[in-house]
Amino acid sequence: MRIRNADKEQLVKQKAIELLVKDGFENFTVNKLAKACGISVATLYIYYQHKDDLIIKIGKEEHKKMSDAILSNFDPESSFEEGMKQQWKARAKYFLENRFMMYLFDQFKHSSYQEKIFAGEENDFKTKMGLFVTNAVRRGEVNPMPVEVFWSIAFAPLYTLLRFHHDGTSIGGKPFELNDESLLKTLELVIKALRK
Amino acid sequence: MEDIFILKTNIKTPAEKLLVENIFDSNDEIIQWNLDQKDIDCVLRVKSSTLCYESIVKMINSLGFDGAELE
Repeated sequence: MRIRNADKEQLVKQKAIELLVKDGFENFTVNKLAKACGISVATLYIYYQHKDDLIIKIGKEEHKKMSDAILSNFDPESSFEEGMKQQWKARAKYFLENRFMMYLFDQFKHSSYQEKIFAGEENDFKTKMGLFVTNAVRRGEVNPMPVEVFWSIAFAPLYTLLRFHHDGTSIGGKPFELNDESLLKTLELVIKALRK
Repeated sequence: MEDIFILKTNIKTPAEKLLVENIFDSNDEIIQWNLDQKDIDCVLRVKSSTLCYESIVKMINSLGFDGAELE
């Protein structure tokens, strides 16, 4: 009989995320993961029924962690400026501490796992963010606009900065490291662009 | 207490899986089972409180397949 081990489980999740980002879903195998963790393939099957089960479980768990991290201390009733500041800081913190997750969530969004990973997003994350924007529109702080337009201005610049940071370079290979100054300067311009 | 048994097998095709399905699904001692045919070892995973590796291997052998504990 084989017994679960919390430390091994954590190592497996961490290595699985790294391998999924590095190799992609198709080239990822349970065998490769076992080797990377220095454990037997059989041990992996204690935690997961099969490869898809592993990918989906890890994806769902990480998505929940991300949502919880980003929504902690977030008040949908806060002013537009305050709410955006909280969101930018929370998202930056999360993705700076979890550098592979940005790439992994991108992969999930463009895969057949998307529905299984992001189901249930409606209930919390989208609700709170939707309420935040609705309140800002109602108070006359921002104009109503399609969600895609809003998101492209509100958050896409942040994710671009994070990519530059993770790559270590920005446009044309120029060295780049994200700091509070560049984060807040960019946010200031985003708020200016969106504010009525 | 539920135990999890991990075996490598040669149950490679969907048709072969169906043969196993009929026997495993009707066995009350098996709480849950699945077969990962995407893995090179065609890994069979069985959850049971009463079975042991020997009895599971015998079940697989009786269907004409090979099975062994995956180390």
